[in-house]
Amino acid sequence: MTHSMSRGSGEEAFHELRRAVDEVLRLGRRLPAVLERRPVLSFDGFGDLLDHVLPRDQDAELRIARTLQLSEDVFSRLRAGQLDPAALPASPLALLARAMGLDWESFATLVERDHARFASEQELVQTRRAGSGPSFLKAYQEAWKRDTMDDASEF
Amino acid sequence: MTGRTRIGAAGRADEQQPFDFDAKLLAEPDADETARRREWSKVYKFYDPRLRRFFERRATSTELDDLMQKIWTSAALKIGSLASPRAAWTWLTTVGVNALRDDGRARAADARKREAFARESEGEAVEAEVLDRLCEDPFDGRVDRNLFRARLATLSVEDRSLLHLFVVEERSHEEIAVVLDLASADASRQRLRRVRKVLRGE
Repeated sequence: MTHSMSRGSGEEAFHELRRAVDEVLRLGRRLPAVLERRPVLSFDGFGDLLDHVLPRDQDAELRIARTLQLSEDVFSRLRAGQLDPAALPASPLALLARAMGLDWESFATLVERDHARFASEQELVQTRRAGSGPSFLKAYQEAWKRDTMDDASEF
Repeated sequence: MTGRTRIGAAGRADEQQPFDFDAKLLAEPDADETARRREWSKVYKFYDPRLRRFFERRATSTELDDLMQKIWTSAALKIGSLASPRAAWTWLTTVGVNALRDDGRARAADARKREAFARESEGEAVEAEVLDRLCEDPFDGRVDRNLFRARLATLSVEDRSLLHLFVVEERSHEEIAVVLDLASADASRQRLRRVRKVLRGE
C-alpha cells in the first residue's frame, strides 16, 4: 500500500504524509548510533544494516514502506535479506540509503553483498572476470544521482 | 550538476514574495509536534496552491495530485538542508519539473517496451483483455483469434499471470520475478520466451 495525498483532505493528508516521512528522517539519526558500535562494512548486506537501523515498531515500518512506495511485504523481505536487490526498483532504495546518510561506496558494497547471495556462480565469475561491479548497480548509481538532483542544499 | 533544472522567470513572482519559515524545525522529526505542525501548515498553505497553479498546465488533474505528492515527499525529506527560505520556490518547482521528466522518461520506456513486444510477439494474444490490447497494435488483422485463444488455453495459470504482468501491467522482468517469486529476472525472461513459442505454435 502506498500513500496517496489525493485521497485525503488536502492539508490533513499532507500531515499524514509528513509524519510518515518523519520515520525516514529518524533513520538518519539512528544510523550514526548503529555505526558507532560497528563499522558499516561489517554488515552482511543492506538488508542486514536495515534490520539494525529500522524500528521494531510495525506501524513505523509501514510508514517507511509507504514513503518509499514499497509494499509492506517487499519491505519486510528486504529487511530480512530475502530479496535480491537486482530484482527491486532502485529509486526507493537509493532514496532510503541517502536519507539514512549512507555514502554511495558503502551502499554499493552492501547491495552487492545482498545480490551475491542470489546470483548464479556463472554470473559472479563473469563479473569478476570483467573486473567491474554487477550490471544492476548501474541502475542504482543512476537512481542515486537522480536523488541528488532534488537536494535542497544546492539552492 | 548535470540534468539539474532551475526554474527561471516563470517562478520569479512567487520567489520574490516575502515568506519565511524555520527549515531546521521542519526537518527535526522529534521536535515539538504542535510547533512543527503549525510551521508545516504555513508552508503547505503558502506553496501548495502556487505549485498547483504552476504545474496545472503541465499535467492532467490525476497527474497533478501524484506530482504534488512527490514534491511534498521530497520537501519533507530534504527541507532541512535548504539554505534559505527564499530559495524554496525555485527548489520546489525544480523537484516538480524533475518528477515530470521522470514520468516522461518512464512513459517513453513503456512505449518502447510495448513496441518491442508487438514486434516480437506477432500473432500472439493473452486472454480476452490482453488479446484486445495486443490487437490495437500494428499486427491487428493478422491474428487468428480462435487459434490464439486455443493456444492460450494450454498455458498454466502462472504463465498467464506472467503474460498479464508483462503485457497489461507492463512490469519489468525484475518486478515479475519478485511478484511470481521466480529465481531471477532471467528466469522470467526464459519463461516468457517459452510462452511465446507456445503461442506461436512452435
